[in-house]
Amino acid sequence: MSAHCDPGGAQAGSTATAERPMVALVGAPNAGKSTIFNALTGLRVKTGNYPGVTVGRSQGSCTLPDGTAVDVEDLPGTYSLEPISIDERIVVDLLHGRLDGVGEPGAVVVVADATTLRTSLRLLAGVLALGRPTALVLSMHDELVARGGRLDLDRLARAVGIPVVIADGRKRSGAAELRDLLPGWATWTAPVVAPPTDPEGCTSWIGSVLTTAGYSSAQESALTARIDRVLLHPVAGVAVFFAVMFGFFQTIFALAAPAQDAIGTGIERLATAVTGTFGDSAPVRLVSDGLLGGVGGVLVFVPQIALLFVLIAALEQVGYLSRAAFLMDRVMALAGLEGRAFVALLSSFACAIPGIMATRTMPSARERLATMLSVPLVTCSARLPVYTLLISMLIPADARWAGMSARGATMFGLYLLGAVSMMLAARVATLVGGARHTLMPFTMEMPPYRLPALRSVVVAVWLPVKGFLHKMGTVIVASTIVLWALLNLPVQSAAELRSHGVDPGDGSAVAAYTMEHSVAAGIGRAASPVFDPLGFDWRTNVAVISSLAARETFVATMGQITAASDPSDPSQALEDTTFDRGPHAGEPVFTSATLAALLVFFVYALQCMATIATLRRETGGWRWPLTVFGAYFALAWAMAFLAHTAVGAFA
Amino acid sequence: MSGTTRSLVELPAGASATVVGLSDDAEPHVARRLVDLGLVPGTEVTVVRRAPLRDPTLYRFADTAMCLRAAQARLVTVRLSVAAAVAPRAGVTVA
Repeated sequence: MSAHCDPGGAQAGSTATAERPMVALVGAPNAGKSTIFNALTGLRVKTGNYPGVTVGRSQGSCTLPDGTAVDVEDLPGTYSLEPISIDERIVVDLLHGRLDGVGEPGAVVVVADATTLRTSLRLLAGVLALGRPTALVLSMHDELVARGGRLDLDRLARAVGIPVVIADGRKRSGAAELRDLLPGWATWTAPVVAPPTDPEGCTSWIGSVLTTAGYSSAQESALTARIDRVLLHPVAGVAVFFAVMFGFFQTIFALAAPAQDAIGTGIERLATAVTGTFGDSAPVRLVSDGLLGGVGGVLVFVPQIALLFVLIAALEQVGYLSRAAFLMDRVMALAGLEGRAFVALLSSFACAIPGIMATRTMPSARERLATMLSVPLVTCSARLPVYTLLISMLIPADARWAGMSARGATMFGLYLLGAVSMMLAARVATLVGGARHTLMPFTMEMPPYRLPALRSVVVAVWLPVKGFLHKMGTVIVASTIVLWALLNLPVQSAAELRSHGVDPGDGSAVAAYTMEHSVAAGIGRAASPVFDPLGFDWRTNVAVISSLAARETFVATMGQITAASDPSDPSQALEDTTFDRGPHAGEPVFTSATLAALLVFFVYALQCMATIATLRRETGGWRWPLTVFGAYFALAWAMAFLAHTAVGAFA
Repeated sequence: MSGTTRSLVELPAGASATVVGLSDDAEPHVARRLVDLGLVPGTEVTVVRRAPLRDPTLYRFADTAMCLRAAQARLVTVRLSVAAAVAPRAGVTVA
């Protein structure tokens, strides 16, 4: 570490408690902070949450021209250091060096959009009052000039009393000037007197700074105004919005499917190769079915997550996400949320995992938590096979309601039920959260349309995929193996099988027998008192338990348990299934009432280990995932009981 | 120029006005945020457009395009600026 970079020699009494000095990036939302962060740190970035809160955190490191390294902290966007939300509280606490588990910043870099400098100077005034070494970085300077504005950098630097540089995060070399400036942070100039922070004093300080710097505002972007006249139009804009969202949904739903199928097929081939090489014994099947199944269960989400983040990053950088949020804000307000929650809601129709991860774009921690906790109720693609099977058993193919296919109408109704339930759950979550936090006013900047930066898109895709594989992969693999073991242990010997009249050579008969005598079957029978009122028998309970690995597993498990000839289409075998013991012995299990109860159960139950693992990562602990798992299980049971009673009364 | 004061939320799309101050009804943290965004006395505000369901509304002030819900726009007291209300928005005419 060079002498002038040594925190011990820093001016203004600033010290870094970490081994490496930390530079904090502060700026308004949309100031271009994250692109400058990416240009400084590249892919050497860790993402996660600040300790104990759902506020997203990005940390990276940067090697400076003098060979020293600094940690760079990309703070949540904020307009001022008078915090009114948890996110802004984090910014203020970190800048004051009083955030537990996070070091004290050696230097602060304020990132300001040159075209909206007026607004950013108010934040700068607050930062200068802290007395830490501070520099001002201007983004979008080229845009200011292109739109007819101007600004004299040297005079601006004199007026604010600190170093000022230009950076363009959209170019690889964009942060070069900032990188050259950083090693000398301990000797940066500071204003003789910190600017006033009271509203009136600050306003006149801003006026004098802008005058001194010869600042003239950029014209409103003519192109943006023209595009907005279409994209925000009450009719055309809404039509474009639905077209974009349809394309968005199609991409993550349909385009990811071939890649997911390829992963599934590849894993299956690998499993077959493993059993072919090492023989078909229980330890081998633990690897071929349990371990490989678990790895496949992780990888299968990657295409969806990657595609989702490509789309979100591109739409956000172009500026369309703000427009979509503007159009949808009134609708989302019904759920106590704001327009920006819409992307998470939409993504969740494909899968709750990318949906929960998409909440990272939401600036308010309170609404982000409410969205994360409620989106698992949206009908994800994994529910589709379950619904298809149960609806085909419940409703005859030729049934018509008011001329519509009754099956189609029921499917639509289930999607609607999921969406409405999500909105209600979010409403409850914001009300509960609202009791503890002050209500945030809704403000959202509408940036001009801009070309996306490829670099930032790559980073925006790579980080969530890496985080998913790294943090959730282990939980998903482990839970899949445990579930496999529950469903397949203890191992039945050939002699044991023969003594019960099962041919050890008949694979599906062995599978059915093993499952019927497995640990999970024991749990399924033990759970009978809980599920009896819903009309489930022990086999249904086992399938419900197995669906924790992934909801669609329900279909295959029902097939295996009932020893259906084709486990992926077990409807005929299921229709013939009768209670094998107890007071209902001999009666069919899958009555209309039970099928309706199962359908409703799957609408509400958080029957997905991967979602629980994602919630644990995104909320930073087990508290919320376990709370919502319990709450949604109770809700699912109650609603299924209602459905069972209601349908039972009519049938 | 003598103008009548009214709430920002009452202005039609396309109108311009000058901020006079904030309503006393504004909670301190909301008022502070509006000031942070640049809604201080003397700031020119233009109503750009309303969302299809009437809320929120897109405004232009302090060189920034900003969406506010009616709940917040209601708290901003403005004085109609006659000249600005007649002139078209400056940027639109620039090719």
